Amino acid sequence: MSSEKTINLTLKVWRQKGPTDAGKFQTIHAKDISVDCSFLEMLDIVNDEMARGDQDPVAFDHDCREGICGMCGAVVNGIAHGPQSETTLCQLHMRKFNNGDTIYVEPFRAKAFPIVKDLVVDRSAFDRIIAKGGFISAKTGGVPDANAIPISKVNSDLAMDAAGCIGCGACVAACPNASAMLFTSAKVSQLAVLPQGAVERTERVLNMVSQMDSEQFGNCSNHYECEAVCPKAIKVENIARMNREYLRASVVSRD
Amino acid sequence: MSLTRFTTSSIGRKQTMAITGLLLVGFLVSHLLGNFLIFAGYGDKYKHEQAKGLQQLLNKHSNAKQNVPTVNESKKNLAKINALLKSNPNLIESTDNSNIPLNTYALKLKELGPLLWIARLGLIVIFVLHMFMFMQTTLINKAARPIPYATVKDAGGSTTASKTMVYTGIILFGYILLHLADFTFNLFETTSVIDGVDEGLFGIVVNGFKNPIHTGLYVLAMFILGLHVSHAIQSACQTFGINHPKYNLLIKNSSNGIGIALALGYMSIPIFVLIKL
Ligand code: HEM
Ligand code: FES
Repeated sequence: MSSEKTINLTLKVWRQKGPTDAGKFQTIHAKDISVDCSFLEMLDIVNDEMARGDQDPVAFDHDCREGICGMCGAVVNGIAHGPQSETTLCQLHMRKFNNGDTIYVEPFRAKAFPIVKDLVVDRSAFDRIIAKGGFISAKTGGVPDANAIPISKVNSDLAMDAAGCIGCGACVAACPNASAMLFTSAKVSQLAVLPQGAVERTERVLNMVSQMDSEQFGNCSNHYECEAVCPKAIKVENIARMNREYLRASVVSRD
Repeated sequence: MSLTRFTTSSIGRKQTMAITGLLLVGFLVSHLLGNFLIFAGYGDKYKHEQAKGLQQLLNKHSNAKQNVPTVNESKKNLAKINALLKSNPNLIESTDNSNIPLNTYALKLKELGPLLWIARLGLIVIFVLHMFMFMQTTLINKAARPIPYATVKDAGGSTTASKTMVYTGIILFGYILLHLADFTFNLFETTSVIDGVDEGLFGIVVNGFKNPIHTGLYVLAMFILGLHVSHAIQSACQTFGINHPKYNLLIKNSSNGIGIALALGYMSIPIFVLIKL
C-alpha cells in the first residue's frame, strides 16, 4: 500500500481495434495519479490525456462504479478484478499500488467472451444462459400475501448468497479452463433452493447447462480460482449443488 | 434418462470421469493389498522352503546324502548349484515355487479363468472411459481460451496437484503401459531365478527391483500417482455434489491422506526389495 499522495505507474494495456484485430500491449506512463482514485478513474485520467494528444483512448466497460452492476472488469497483473479480494475493478483503489509499479491490464480472455475492443468483451453468452431457465413460473392476478410461502432461514440465506452474483464474468476469466460453472451454478442455485423454483427445476438445470456448453466455455476442473476472484464471494458450493441438480435431472427427466 | 445428453454434457463427462476414477482408486487399493504379499515371501518359512528346494536339487545331481539344511548351509552350496544350473538350464523348470505367497495369489487369480477376464475387461472399460473423457474435456478446455494471458497469477484456489492433473494423468498412462509390459507380459529381459531357484513371479519382481534405476522409476511414478489421487478424490466429491461446510475439511484431508498412503504403500515394495538384497 502506498503512503504517497500521488504515484507514477507504467501501464501495459491490451489494445485491440476490433474482434478480428490481432491486438498487442501498449505501454502507457500514468503520471501523478492520486492514490484516492479508483482503478477506473485512473484509466479515465490516462484516457483524458490520450484524447488530448489525439490518441485513441482505452475502451473499457463500466456503469455503476459502486461494485453492484457487474459491468466493469479486467485482468490486472494476472488476477481478474485485480489484487484485492471481493472487490470489483471499479472499487479497487490506487492506494493498493506502489509508486513505480508496472501494471498489466488485459481483457477477460475466453473463446465465449469475444473481444469487442481493447478491454471490452462481449458477455452476452451469460444472457443466453439466463434466458434458458433463469426464471420461474408465477401466477398472474392479485398480489399474494407477503410470506405466504414458508421458506426456511437456511434456504433463504443460500438463495440470497447465490443471488449476489452480478454476472461480471471474472469467474470465467480466472478459470484455467475458461469455465462458466460458477456463474451458471449461482443462477441455478438461487432458484433451486426455493419452493418458487421447483416448477422448472428439472428443465432449468438441463437447459442452462446445455446452453453453457454450446457457448464453448470449458469444463470445471475444481481448481476454485473462480471463488477466489469473485467480487461477490459466490461459493463453489453452488457448483456442487448444480452438479447434484444435473445428476438428479438426468435421471428423472422424461426427455 | 438420456444417456447421450448426459455423456456429451460438461457435467456428465466430469461425472463419468469421477466415477471411473473412483473405481480405479478402488482397484489401486486391492492391487496394493495383493502386492503386499511380496513381504510375506521374505518370511523364514519360505526361506526354509527355498533351502529345501535347493537341497533336493543338490541331492538329485550330486549323489550327496545330506539332511535338509539350514538357510546358511544351503547358501554355502549356492556356487555348486549355480554351476550345475548353468550347464543344465532346464532344471530350473522343475523346482516348485507355488508356496511363495505372491505366487499363490497370482495362481489363484489365474485359476479364476473366465472370471479374471471379466474383471480385466471391466477394468479396461473403466480405464478407457476415464481416458476418453479426459481427452474430450482437455481438448475443450484448451479451446476455451485460445489466447493465453500474458500474466497469470493464482488467486488462491488451485494447488500443484490440481494444476498438474492433465500431466500426471498422461504420465500415469505411460507408466501403466510400462508396468504391464514389465510384470504382466514380461516383455523385458528378466529372470525369475534367485540364488539358483526359480521363484516364479516373486523372483521376477524381486530381481526387477534389485536394479536401482528400475526402483527409482517406480518410486517416481508412485509420487505422480499420489499427486493425481490426492486431488482426484476431493475433486470427484465436488463433481458429484458432495460439498458441505461441515465435511469439506474432512474430505480434503482424506483425499490427500489416501493419495499419500497409496503412494507410500506402493513405494515401500521396490524400496524394500532394493535395500533388502
Ligand atoms: C491409476 C489410475 C488413475 C486413477 C486412480 C485416477 C483417478 C482419478 C479420479 C478419481 C479423478 C477425479 C475426477 C474429477 O475430477 O471429478 C481423476 C481425474 C482426472 N484424471 Fe485420473 N485417474 C487415473 C489415471 C488417469 C490417466 C491415465 C489419465 C490420463 C491420461 C488421467 C487423467 C485425469 C485428469 C486430467 C483428471 C482431471 C479432470 C479434471 O480435473 O477435469 N487419469 N482421476
Ligand atoms: S462498474 Fe458496476 S460493478 Fe464495477
